[in-house]
This record gives sequence, C-alpha cells and structure tokens, in this order.
Amino acid sequence: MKAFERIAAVPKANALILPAAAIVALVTQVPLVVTLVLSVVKWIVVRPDLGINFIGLSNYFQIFTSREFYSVVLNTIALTFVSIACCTILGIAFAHMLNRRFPGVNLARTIMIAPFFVMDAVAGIVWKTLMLHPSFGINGLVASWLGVAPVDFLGQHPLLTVVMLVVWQWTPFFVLILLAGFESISEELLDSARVDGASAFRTLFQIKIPAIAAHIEVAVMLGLIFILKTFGVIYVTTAGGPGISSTNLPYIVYRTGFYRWDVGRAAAMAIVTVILTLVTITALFGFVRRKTREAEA
Amino acid sequence: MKKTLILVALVLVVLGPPALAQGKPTLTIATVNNPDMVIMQKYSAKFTEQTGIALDFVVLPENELRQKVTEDVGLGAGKYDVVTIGTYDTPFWAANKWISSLEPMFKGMSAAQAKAYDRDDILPPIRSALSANGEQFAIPFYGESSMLFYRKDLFAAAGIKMPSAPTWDQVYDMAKKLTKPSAGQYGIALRGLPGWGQNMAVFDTLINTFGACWFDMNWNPQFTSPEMKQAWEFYKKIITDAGEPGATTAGYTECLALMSSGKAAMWYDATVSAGTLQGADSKVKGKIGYALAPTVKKGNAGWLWAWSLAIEASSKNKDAAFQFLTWATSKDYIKLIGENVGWAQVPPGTRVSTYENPKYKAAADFATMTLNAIKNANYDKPTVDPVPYKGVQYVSIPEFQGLGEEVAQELAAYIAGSKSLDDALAASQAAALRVAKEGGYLK
Repeated sequence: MKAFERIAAVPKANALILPAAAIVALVTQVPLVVTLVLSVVKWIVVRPDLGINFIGLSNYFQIFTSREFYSVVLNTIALTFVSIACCTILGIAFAHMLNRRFPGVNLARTIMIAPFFVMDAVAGIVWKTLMLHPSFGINGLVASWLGVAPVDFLGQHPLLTVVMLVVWQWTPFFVLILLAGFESISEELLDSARVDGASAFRTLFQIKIPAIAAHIEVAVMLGLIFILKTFGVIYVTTAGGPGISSTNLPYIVYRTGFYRWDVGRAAAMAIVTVILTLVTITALFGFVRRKTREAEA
Repeated sequence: MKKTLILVALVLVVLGPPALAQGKPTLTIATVNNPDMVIMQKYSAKFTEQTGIALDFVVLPENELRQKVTEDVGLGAGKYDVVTIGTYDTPFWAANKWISSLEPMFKGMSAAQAKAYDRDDILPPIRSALSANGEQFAIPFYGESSMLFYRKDLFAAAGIKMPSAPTWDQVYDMAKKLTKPSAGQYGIALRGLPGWGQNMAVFDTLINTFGACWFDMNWNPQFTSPEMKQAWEFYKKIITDAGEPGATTAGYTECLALMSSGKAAMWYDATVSAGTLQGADSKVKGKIGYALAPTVKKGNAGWLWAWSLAIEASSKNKDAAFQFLTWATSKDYIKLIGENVGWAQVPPGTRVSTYENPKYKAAADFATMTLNAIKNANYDKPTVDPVPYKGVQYVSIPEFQGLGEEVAQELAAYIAGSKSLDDALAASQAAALRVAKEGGYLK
C-alpha cells in the first residue's frame, strides 16, 4: 500500500519520460542482455549440426586461461595509453602554436584538424598503400632515393604503426579542445605573468597548462573512450597481425566472431571488454580528476 | 470522382514501383573483386537488357566477401540472391542447406535451353568439386589451378632456362639470381598477407609437396612434423632472400600488381592470372612464360579452385537468379567477353569448349598449361601420406576458415620475424588440436 502511495505521489508529468527511457533501454540494455545470454552458450555458426548448447561459464574460463587474451589486453593498454599520451603532448604543442594571430592562422587551423574528418578505413588504406607500402608507397620511393631497403612498417612494427595512425587521426581532436582552453585564459593573468618576469617556458608550464587542466581532462576522457575501441585502422592495415601483435580487444572479439564463427566465445570476450573498459575509464577518470584538482589548487 | 482519382494516384505512388516490378525483380549479387568478376559486372547490363532483370552488385575483396556471405547465410539475414563461393564452401554450405540445389532448375530447362547451355561441357573435376551427394549446388564462373609465371626476357638476359616442371630448390636458385633490389626487381612474388585464402592458399601447396599435412588419418594435428618445419623454413627463406619487401602486406592483388608492373621475375599463383598478365594494360604482355607448380616430394602440387555462383536458399528470386547463373557461365558469355574484351581474358577453367576454341587457343598461350594443371590437380588425395580431408589449398572442414586464419597469422608472424618458428608451429598445433576436439573430429 505504501509503495502504491509512493508511486501515486510521483508527478504525472514524469510519465512523459517513459517513451525516451524505453528507447534508451531498448538500444543499450537489450543488446547487452542478448550478449550476456550468448556468452554462456556454445554456438559455431558454420556448424549448425552441433546446435546451440548452454555451457555455463566455460567461455569465460577459456578466455581467462588463454595466453592470447593477456597479450591482446597488453596490446590494448599499450595502444591506448601511448596514443593518448602522444595526442595530449602534441595536442598541447599544436594548440599553443595555433593560439596566436598570424597571417593564414585560420587556414593553418583548418589544415591541422583535417585528419580528424577522414574516415578510419580510408585513412588506413591511404597510409597502407600510398605512404607505407615498401613497393608502391612513398616509403619505397624515399628508400630508393636514399639507396636503402624500405622499412616494412606494417610487418616489422605493426603496433607502433597503428599507434602512429591513431595519433595522426586523433591529435586534431585534442587540438580542437585544447585550443578552446588556451583561448579562454584571461589576458590579465598572462599580463601579470609577463609583469612578474616569467619566461615563456615558465608561463606555459606554470600558468597556461594548469589553467586548461579541465580541458585536458575532457580531451583525455573522450580520447580514451574513442581510442579504446579502435577497429577500422587495424582492420584495413594489419588485420591484427602478424600473429596477434597488433590485435586489440575490439578486434579479437571481431576475429573470434567472424573468422572462427564462435558466437559464444566472442560474446563472452565482448562482455569482458566492456567490464575492462568501464574499470579503466573509471580509474583514469578518478586519477585525472585528482590531478586537475591539484593543479587548480 | 476527384477523390477517387487522388486515392488511386496515391495507391500507385505508394505501391506502384514494387507492383510494376513484379516478375522483374532486382537480384543482389555478392562477388569478389577479382578482374574476371569486375569484367562480368561491367557486361552485366547486357543481361538486364535481355531479361529486364536488374542487378545490384556488392563487390568485396576475398577476405571480406567470405565473412559477409557466411554471416548472411549463417545468421539467416538473406540479403543476397546470388553468392560467389568456392569449391571449399560449396559442400558444407549444401550440407547446411544454405544454398539451393540446382538440379530442379536444370531439369526445368527446355530442351533448347539445355542444349544451348550444354552442362556436360563443364570440366568434370570442377563440376565434381561443386557437387554434394550427386547434386550440383554451384556453377563455376572461372576455374583455376596454380602455376609458376616467369619473365622470359629476364630469364634470357640472365641466361637461365626455366624447366617445365621445376622444383622449389630450383625456383629458389633462380629467384636469388634475378633479385636486384637496387633496380626494384624481386626474384619472386609470393603471397604473405595473412588469410586462409591469401598466404595459406599458396603455402598449403608447399605443405603438401614437402610431404607434410594438417592432420593424420585420426585427425591428430601434424604441425610438429619435420616436413612441416622444412616447409615453413623454406617459405620464409625464399621470401626473405628473393621475395618482395613487406611480404606480409602482399596478397593476390599486390602480387599481381608486382608482376604486371614488371617488378617481379617470377610469381607462383593462380592460373587465372595469366589472362590479366596478357591484358592490354599489362607492362609484361608477351613476356610471360609458364611452368607447372613447383614440387619437392609430391608431384601435381597445383591447387584446384573455382570461384562459382550459387543461389542462397533464402532467395525469393530463385528463377531469376538461375537465369543469371546460366547467363554468366554460358558459352555465349564467353563469346561476348572474347569478342569485346579479348579472348585471353575470357573466364578460364570451366568449359571444355573454351579449350577447343581456335580463337582462345591462338590468344591464350597459357591455355594448355592451365587445362593440364586443372586436370592434374589432386583434389581428393592432396598429400604424400593419406589424410582424412580433401582439398589442396585448404582442409575441407567448415572450421578451416578460422583455423586457416590463425595459422596464416602465425606464418606471417614467423615471416615478419616477430615469432620464432617453434612458437609459431606450437601455436598452430594448439589451434588445430582445439578445432579437431571441438569439431568432434578427434575421437
């Protein structure tokens, strides 16, 4: 009876939220529940004769006892954190350079952010064939001019090359956010620093960067969310290889689901990936928030 | 009256196009981006002109095509009417009831249609590989084996003579002599791009001829055998010493580009490539010689493959799809391409009559070599020792897509130097063992 009274006490206008809540639940929670259900079955698509069987937590057990999985987790961590570190440093450097008035500044800013608007797959194919290919790309051309053997970027340094492409693509995003931060610093603050005789170097590190700490936080958080799920660049350049040397968590889920056609294992990997991603984001968010407060204090 | 007219007009606007199109459906065709398929797509307007049936092509690279079409049939999406599949897929797709038997449709042909199509003209080994339990499930668009292409001009300049049936050791020696990195010339182009239809297609023929195999008769994986180790070592050695740089990014298309642009002295790959190498836009037209697939212990090392057209079981346009299949694989289509594109570019390896055609024989100096390679391919007994599977460049089990992909990645890792041979072989052995157990093969 009390519960009924509580429901009756809720303003009727709140019911208007129900359609939106239902749509959000449908597009976010239903796929999650379906993936959870699939993660406890054995279902090989190319073997319909074996059927779909409930196997409990076996898929999870196999994932956590596989060395391949831990290598992939390490690849994901390396790819994500090295990319974010590079994007942040380059983002601060470029944003600082572009935060001044000079002839053609708008053109320079437009050119700077252009890579961010190129689709993953297109960027990957262009880099793979026209730039890095040892026989057909600029790589081969430069090597022949210099009289040396071309570097096999995708074969010898696959993860590093993927990091390079991710940094090329995502640095402009960091620049956009950090440039807004630099532009928001009050002139009075900078004038005070100049009057006090602070060098340009000291002004940057002790005035400007602490002043844009909140912008850095936003750029890092959004960058983390997007770079953790890098897929297109890997798919078209290295296909996760050679071996699993450039395979990250989203790609291993795809490989398990669409090469092995093992739907159950792929679903279990997807669930583990979601959990690891949430834990990482929450931990990093806490860390960045702490550092931001320290900088602001 | 006015209201009625408006209502009729509205109904026509809403229902008009599908209603008008009834009986003249649009077929959705998934196909691979190989040169012969691209030509088919270009000339498919003729089919629409003749029949009124519109065609919507989805053209994808080999690896993506396999995923898309397997996803489509396996998960019951039913997006495509006609799919391009190979000799590997056909038997188990038929067993899974993912594609329709063509027998009732062939029986439904009139006597004149059947005579014009001449089904018995299709090469028996290819037709057999596309059948299950005596029923044909796919029609070959082009068939192929594998052979060695070489530059006659470069060989003559270097004073080297290519044997008609070379061994892999001879190929290695010749490739080493013809490697001139400073001139941008590689001794041999070989696929290194990971993928069961990419590097594994070529490498599987080496596994077989070196005397190795994937599984023994009891489905025990055989990646630890000395012969397997030798095959892996040799493939890395020849690619490293005399192959193209960045081999792990070179698939069929890249190797074809290397050969046709004059950067490679030899290329071991699909016989079907001969037509492209002799095409008008090839820099090496008229300079190509042919030799049988190189061997070590086992002869007849060439593979057998046919990119073929099949009708998805879920297609609602089966009659129209069958019309398209019989048009694209007919003698008339071969004549159409021969007269408009060139006789050297007609789809090879499918019909006996193609190899009896004087115009084809005159234009295609590779015709006899291709026919012999296809006829000699050991599809049923691909290895030195007996094995429980068929298929030369694959193992005829549904799980091979995943297993082949894993081993292909291990091979690429070994070639790139990021993994030792023992580690790569151990990982391949473990993957094969898992498949044998999970698939219920290993008792």
